[in-house]
Amino acid sequence: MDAAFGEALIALLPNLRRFALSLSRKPDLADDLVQITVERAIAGQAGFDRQARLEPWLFRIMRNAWIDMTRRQRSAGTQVDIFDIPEALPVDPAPGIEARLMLQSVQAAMVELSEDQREVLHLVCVEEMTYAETARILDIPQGTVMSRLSRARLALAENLGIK
Amino acid sequence: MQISDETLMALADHELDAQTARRVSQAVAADPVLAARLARFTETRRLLGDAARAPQAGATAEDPLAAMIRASVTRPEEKPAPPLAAANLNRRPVLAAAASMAIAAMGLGWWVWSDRQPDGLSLPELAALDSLPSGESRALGTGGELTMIASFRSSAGALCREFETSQSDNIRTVLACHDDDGWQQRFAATAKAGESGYQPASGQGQIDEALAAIGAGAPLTPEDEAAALGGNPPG
Repeated sequence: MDAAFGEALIALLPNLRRFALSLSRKPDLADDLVQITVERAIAGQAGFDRQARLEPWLFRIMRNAWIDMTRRQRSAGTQVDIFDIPEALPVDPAPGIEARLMLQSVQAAMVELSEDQREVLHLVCVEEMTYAETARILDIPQGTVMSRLSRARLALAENLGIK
Repeated sequence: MQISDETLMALADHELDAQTARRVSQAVAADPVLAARLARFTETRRLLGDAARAPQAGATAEDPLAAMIRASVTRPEEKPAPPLAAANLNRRPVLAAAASMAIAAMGLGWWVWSDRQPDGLSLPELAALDSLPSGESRALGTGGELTMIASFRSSAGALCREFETSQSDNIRTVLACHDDDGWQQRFAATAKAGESGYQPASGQGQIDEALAAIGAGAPLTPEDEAAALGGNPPG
């Protein structure tokens, strides 16, 4: 593995953790998911097109790893949902209360959405993937990305009381 | 001018071509109702972006994985660094080692055990299929251990279960489905513990294919599984 690839991977670890948490909503599962993704990325780096952006490639690996994990998750015993313990949410206690409350309500509103909606919303609005990149990550047509994303945004806006 | 939600969203996300963007922007500027509809898309994107930029817990310390990645960089001639902590997935007790396993899938080969039934399933395995809840393990008489992974419904509605048995350094992954004649083995592969090599997850590809072949849906919930097992009394 060349050093540039390694550093690029390290720089994206926060993005990977965020997407993992969005998918799994459970910190311990998210940690596992990031680790599996990193391992697969290192092992499979020969398959990465150096001309392409690294993020969509990594997100796609993570998404596929998540599908592998959920197949077994049901039998993995009780997990604690991070949104049942709001104090564990990754927020900085220092900044303004208002911003913090807004952040919590956005995260709480995300939970109301289906998993399909949450992942497309996260990829486009949080990770700033294009529609085309999102379609490739999720293996769905771009038209499906747009209709799903549009419904997710409207549902989120409604949950947040945005008129 | 009729403008769909998806077009407004694409404008908010800068996904429209320049000409269309200009045309839609003009329409929005002239129509407060359209402007309000657009705002739902720009606002949701802004709020989610803010949430993403919020500091993450523990963000000050460097991610422990960074060291592992750098180690892989500095020793390019070696195999990738072994994985760190085991996951809490129930397959990890068996496959914790797993990451350091060269998967030698043997297709439909199976171990020859003294009490092996014609269909490839031993009596203790059949008993476990009938009653052992997913996520639980039990000792096999042969010194090995069996861990039930999950239950599924095939596309034909049959109850199917995946389990793993470990015996010395062999791990056997089995998929069995219940039909009119009882449990039938549909897939089995044996992974052999290797010395140091590590196989990144692709070793599971074959069981994934086997599950796809039976049209397995999502794993059954513990309740559904219990109900399904109740319908298959031990025998």
